[in-house]
Parts: sequence; C-alpha cells; structure tokens
Amino acid sequence: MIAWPREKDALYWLCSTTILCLLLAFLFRLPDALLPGELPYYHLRIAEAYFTGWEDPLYHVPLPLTPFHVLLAAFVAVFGRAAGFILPFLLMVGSSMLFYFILKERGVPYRVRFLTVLLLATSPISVFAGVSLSEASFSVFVLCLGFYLYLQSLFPWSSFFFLLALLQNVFNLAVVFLLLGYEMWLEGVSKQHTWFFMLVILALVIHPFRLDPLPETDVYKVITDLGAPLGIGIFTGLLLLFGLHRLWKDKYAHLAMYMLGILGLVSWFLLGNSIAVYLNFYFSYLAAWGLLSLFESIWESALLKQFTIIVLICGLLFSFLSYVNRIGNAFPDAPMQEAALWFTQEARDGLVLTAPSRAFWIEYFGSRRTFSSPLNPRGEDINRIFYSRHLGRTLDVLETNNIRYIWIDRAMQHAIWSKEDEGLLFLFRDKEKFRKVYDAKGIRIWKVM
Amino acid sequence: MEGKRIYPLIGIFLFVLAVRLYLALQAPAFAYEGYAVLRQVDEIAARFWPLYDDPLSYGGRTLVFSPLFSYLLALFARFFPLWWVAKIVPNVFAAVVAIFVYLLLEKVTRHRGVAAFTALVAGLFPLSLVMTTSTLSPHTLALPYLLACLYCFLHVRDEHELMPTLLVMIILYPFIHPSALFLVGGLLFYGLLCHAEGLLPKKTEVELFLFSSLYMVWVVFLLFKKAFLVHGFNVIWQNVPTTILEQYFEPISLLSSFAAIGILPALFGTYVVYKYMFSKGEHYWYLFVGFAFFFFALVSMKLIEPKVGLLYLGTFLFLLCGQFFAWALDYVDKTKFAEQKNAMVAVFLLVFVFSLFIFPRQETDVPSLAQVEALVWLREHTAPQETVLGALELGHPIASIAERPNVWDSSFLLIGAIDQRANDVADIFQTSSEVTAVKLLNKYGATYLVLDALARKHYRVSDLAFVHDAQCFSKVYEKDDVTVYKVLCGVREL
Repeated sequence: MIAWPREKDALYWLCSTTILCLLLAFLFRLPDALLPGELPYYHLRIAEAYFTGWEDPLYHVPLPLTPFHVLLAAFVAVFGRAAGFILPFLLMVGSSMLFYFILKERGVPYRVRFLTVLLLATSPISVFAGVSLSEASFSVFVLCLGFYLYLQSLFPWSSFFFLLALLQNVFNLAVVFLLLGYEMWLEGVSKQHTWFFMLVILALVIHPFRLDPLPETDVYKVITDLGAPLGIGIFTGLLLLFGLHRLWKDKYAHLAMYMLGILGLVSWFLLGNSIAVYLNFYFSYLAAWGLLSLFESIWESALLKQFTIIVLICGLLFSFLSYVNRIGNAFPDAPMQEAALWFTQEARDGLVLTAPSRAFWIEYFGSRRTFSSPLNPRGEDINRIFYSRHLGRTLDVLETNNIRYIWIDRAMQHAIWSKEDEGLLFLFRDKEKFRKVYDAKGIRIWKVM
Repeated sequence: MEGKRIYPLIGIFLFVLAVRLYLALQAPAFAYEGYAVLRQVDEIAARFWPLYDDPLSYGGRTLVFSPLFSYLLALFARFFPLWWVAKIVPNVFAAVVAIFVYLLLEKVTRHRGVAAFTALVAGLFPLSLVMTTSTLSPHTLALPYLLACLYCFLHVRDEHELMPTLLVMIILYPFIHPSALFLVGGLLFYGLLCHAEGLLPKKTEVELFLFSSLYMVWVVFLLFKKAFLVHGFNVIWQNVPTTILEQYFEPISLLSSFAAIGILPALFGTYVVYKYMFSKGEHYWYLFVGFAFFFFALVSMKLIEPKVGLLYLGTFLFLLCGQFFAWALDYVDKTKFAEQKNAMVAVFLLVFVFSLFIFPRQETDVPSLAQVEALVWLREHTAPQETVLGALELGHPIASIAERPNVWDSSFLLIGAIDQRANDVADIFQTSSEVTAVKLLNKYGATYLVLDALARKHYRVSDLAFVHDAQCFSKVYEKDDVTVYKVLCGVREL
C-alpha cells in the first residue's frame, strides 16, 4: 500500500521535490557553471544589451522587446550572469505549483494532482526548462498564472498576465484562445469572456507575430532515452498511454482535452521544440492518471503488481537521471567558453563562420558577429562553403561575406564531415590562405588571410 | 516427474547433445564472433568482471552487452579448461531446446510420441546446428530460455505454482541477451491474435505481459543506454557500416529458408498457422502462432539478422509441426490404413528427417588452421601494443588469439564514423598507392596487416598492390593463403 501524504502537506512535498530535482540538474552543470544549450546565451546577450540602449551592439539592429527579455534584464541587473540560472529555476518551480492549484480549482482528484506535479518535476522537459533559459518557460509560467487568476475570478490581473503571454509570442495567442474556449465548453459563455476576447483582439493588433526561436524538432526524436534533445521519457510515454486508456472509459467526458492534445502534438511537430515545454504539463497530467490507475487496479497477483510499480518508478527515475547527466555534459563547456573568449583579444573586424549551434556562444562570450546562427541558419550558404574543395571559389564566398575566422570543434567536425580531408578541411592545407590561430582542447580557429 | 516421462526426456536430451558434441568437437576453432565471447569469459573467470572497456577491440573502446551468458560460461571455466567449457556448455544449453519442445508439445498435444520426435528434430535442424554448435552465441542459451519462459507462462495461466519461477526467469532474461524483448513482442502478437479470435486473455496473462514488457524495456535501456543515446532506434541495426549492411541483413529467399529450417517442417508449420487463422483453436496454439508471426515479421522487415530470425522462427514452426503430426495420426486412425499405422509412421519419419538435410549443409564460419597459426605467430613475435589490421571477421580472433589490438571487428555499437573506417579499410586493401595505404594504416595505428582468403574475397584482390617497397612493407609471415606484412614507414604532413 502506498502512503499518500496528507493533502495539506502535499505542497511542501511537491515544492521540495521539484526544487531537489532541479538542484540535482544544477549540480551536474556545476563544474563549468555554464548554462546548457545555445539559446540561453542569445537571451542573456539581448537582456544585457538593454543596459546600453535599444540597439543590438553587435548587429546594429533594434533589440527585440519582449516581456521575457525585460524580466531577464531585471534579473541580470540584480543577480548578474547568475540570472541565467535563477530565472528558469524560479519559473519552473512556480509553473509546477500553479499547475497544481489550477488542477485543484478544476476539481481534479488530489492523487492525480499530486502525481501530476511529481511526474512534472522528474520529466526531462522540466529539467531542460528549469536549467536552460527559454522563452517557453516564461510563457508557460505567465499562462499558468493568468489562468489561475482567471479561475480565482481576478479578471484584471488575469488579463494582464494573459496580455504578457500574448505579447511574448504568437503561439500563446492560440493557447489563450484554446484555454478560454475550453472553459467556455465546460462552463458556458459568461460576461467575462467578452473582456477576454477584446483582449485577444487588442493583442492581435499590437502583436509582433513572433515565435520562440528554439531549433526545429526532428519528428523521429521525441523520446529522450533514444537520444532526443528534448522530449518525453519512454516510461512517461507508456504511462501516458495507460492514462489515455483510463480516461477513454469516460467516453466523451474528455473530448475537448483529446482535441487539445492532438492540436498540441501537431504544433510540436510543426513549430518545434518550444511547444514541448507547454505539452509537458498535459503529458504529466495524462501520465498521472495512468500511474494512478495502475496503483488502484486490482491484480490477480499482488507480487506482480508490486514488481511492475517498482519497475515503473525505477524507469521514471532512470529517464530523469539519464537526462540530468546529459544536461550536465551538454555544450558549451569551459574549453568552448575559453575559445570564444579568445575573440575578445582580436580586432573586431569580419564575421566568424561556424555551425549555427555555436554562433550564440561566440556572440555572447566573444562579442563577435557570426555568419550564421539558429535564428539565421543560412544552410545553403554554409553548406556551399563547408563542402567545397575549390579554393578560389571558397575564398570568393568568404571574401564576399566578410568572413575572417572559421571555428571548428571536434563535435562539429564529426557532425559535418565524414572524412578528414573533405571540403573545407582539405582547403585548410593551404597555409598561406588559412592560418590556424587557435588550437586547444579540440577547438580550432582559422584566420582567413 | 514420473519415470515414464523422464526417461524419454533424458534420452532425447542425451541424443541431441551427443550429435551436437560430435559436430562441435570436429573442429578445434570457434566461429569468428565466438572469440569475442571467449575473451569475456576468460576475463570474467580471471577478474569476476566483464571487459566493458576493451583495450584491444578497435584499439580501445567501450562495449555494451548483456553479460550473464559469459558469466555462466566463466563459472564453469573456473573449474574446467576454457576450451572444453566453450565447446560443451553452449551445446548443453542448445540441447535443452529439445527438452522444452518436448514438454510444451506434451502439454498441448498430450501425445508423447509426437512430442518426442518433434523435440528430437527441433534440437537438430540444420540452421540450429550451424548457429549453435561452435558459435558461442548467447542465442544458444536465449532460445531454450524463451521456451522455458513460455512453458512456465502456460502453467501460470492455469495455476500460480510456477509464478515465482517465471518471475525470476523474466528478471534474469535481459541479462542473457537483449533478445529477451522477443518474449514481449511474441506475447504482444499472441494478445493481438487472441483478440482477433475473440479469445479473452486471462488477467494473469495481461499482468505478466505488462510486467515483463516494462521490466525488459527498462533493463535493456539500462544496459544499452549509451548505445540508445548515440544511435537512437538505429541501435536495431547495430551501427553496421552501410557498405556491409546488405551482407548482415541480406534478404532471404524461400529456398534458403527451406534449407535452413527444413522443407517439411516449414510447410507443415505454415499449414498449422493457416488452419488456426481460419478456425478457432485453443489459446496455446495462438501463443506459438503469435511467436511465429512475430519472428516472421522481424525477418521480413529486416529488423533482425536473418539467420537469428530463422533460428527462432524454425523452432516455433517445429512446435506447430507437432500439432500437424498429432492431426495426421488422428486422421490415419480414422482411415482404413489404421492397421499399417506404425509402418507408415516409420516411413514418414524417415522422409521427414531426410527432408531436413536435403539441401546442401551450411557450415559454421570458423577460422582456418592457417589463420589461427598466423595469429599465434603474431602473438609470439610482435609487441603487445602493435595494432593488427585484417578482414572484418578476423577482428575478434586478432584480439583473442593474437592478443593484439585490432583496427575493427564486428562489434560496431558505439563506434563513431564507422562508415569512414569501413571505407578506409577497403581503401587499404584495394589501393595501389603506397602513400594512401601508409597514411590510412598510420591513421589507425596499424603496424601489421593480415592478408588472407577472407580479405581477398571481400575486397576482390589477389595480392596487395602497394607492398613492393621493401623499406616500407616487409613480409614477415607467409603460410598457405595467409600473409602478414609489417608496416615500416609513416607519412608526415608538411
């Protein structure tokens, strides 16, 4: 038998579990104390740039003005670079707790609520969202807060937070629409809905129509245990199926929820990884139903049931720890930071050519413009340079694009070239045209002469 | 177990074992891949821990595998000479297949004669002999283990006496080989077939399926975590280089599957599958049909090495064949030939056994004496850190017999840029440029190069075209069709 904590103590349990899980992930990042991934460095650079004016100091274009970057700038002003760690942590813990209260308001049974937040805390997506700065974490937090206040009938405040979410990105607009639509489905149309739809129209007028710039999802990679960069654990996936099986018995009672799920999945595949951060809450809720139905089902063999539950819990922990370990080893690491900092000693002329995934680190640490980045991948252009063995033509392209440096690290080399003398690597043999100016711990930088 | 039942069982087991041992002891060597297991067994026997960080394979790499099979062999190797253990114990495991085929058929057909004969041939059909006599393959244990699990599964369905035994078996299964997932796949197909036929599965069956699938998925993920993270779902194809993937997962023809399993068992087994698809039968037949379907699907979708798939598929077709025999005997009893039943059965059995071996017998690929002698020479005349390059199959024997690092072998999991390596090796054997060859040999730190019949066959060369410069390549060993060259020079980039 499982001893469930008392409902009044549940929040402490859940809060401390979420904090512990995220702290564990931080511990794995401690040796280099660097944020994992690429985008956090873009966000930090933009937030820090607010202190110098409204123009991007590197690219001389207007800075994107979003509620997330404003909040991050405020955190940077207080905590310095540590803001990159503190803000996502607080957003994730806050979102989990708010989701618990939302479920409570919606009359979801205590055990399901408890398990939902527990599964949320140990899910790989939460680990990602809690240790890596992302706009999606902010959006989810603001949406949860707005929706919770809406359920509390604090409409002005609710509108304010919804408006923040709407200004953040266009996907939030769809989420607000769907959430309100869902409420209308359940509760019927009320006066307040008029207000909210006016709000939506207002947001549509002033909306910048932007999306979170997270990399696109490889549709075959949604299971983190199989190497997906962001996705669900295999056991959460199985529990999710159990949960669906359990809820399916209620016939049409959850039809709107299924529709939301289908829309969410389609959005995930169409719009990219940032949607996974939103869907994580939905997945955890379904998985919680699955886990609860397993706990409460009557088995012919009690021994088998106990074993199955133990295996499931071990599996969930395994997925969590395995992902935490991967986050711990994710790039950038200290040698990469060191290499990027090297650019600060050089004259600030020309662009750096590298894989798009390295661009934000070079921009942030090295204050150097890059030829391509996740926001501007220029796939065809960089492929033309990377795979060309024609010296004259390559030099022309480099010259035309004002590329002065080329950064190649070991992981990038393995990902792009399969032979050591392929394409651009072959051209590096011409020591008169390319001079190796940096070579340390697997990272090499060439200067185009 | 009463005497009436146990004596034929012991008889069948001993006969199957005797035939297997006779074949196994004909050749002193093991299959090429068996040498990888042999090294693990040796290591475990000496240090109680498998060689997960192998300094010889690929010149040093991390291995991921289920270690229980090697542990079991190592247990015996503590008390007996390794060669004898490696020859006898896997054959004992493989002979156990006959016991479980007998027990399963006896339980479901209640016909001891049918069970005994089918068990005898199921333990000795052609592919089974090729795949399990001298290969040291974990499948020698995994296959009887699967049958044992099914035997317990059928028992547990009716009474819970064997439940703890089955649980322990399920818990240990993935540690023998990741093919433990076959149990999950087969049970899933069984469930689907039962559903299609309107047979309600028992609650215990569903519970067992749930537990075994969750547990096995978890343990396989745990054991092969690194491989899954690196290769994702492609782990199924074991990171085999694309140039040789076709050889590994070559499509199988009807004729080659007849040759592997035997023409009559394949036909009779398929007939029973057909019968049960169109008429309702007992649930246990759907269990066997489900497994047969599962393995057929794996083989036809190229998700498994065809030989391995056919080994499992063949065994289940034999089980289904038992039902065919039972039907045939019942049918004869109803005809005018009932009095000549014994003579008819004797003739039929002869024809049946003959049909198993009608096609030319495949041989287990084992290193030739010349190859073994060359590897022994390498062990005795080279320094321990010298890296040796040979044909792919020779990789494990280089590490095991010569005890030297190899450039490559057939354990591809977790090896980065494997296609590049395979291409480089092909270039080395096929190039006529000395510079290219030396550069590539230097790249992998290879100081010795073995040219044998395998390399000649794979790379379609009779000799190496670049070895004429005596200052760079010295022929240090030559016997029969095996030549060993020492690389004396290097290439330096200016």
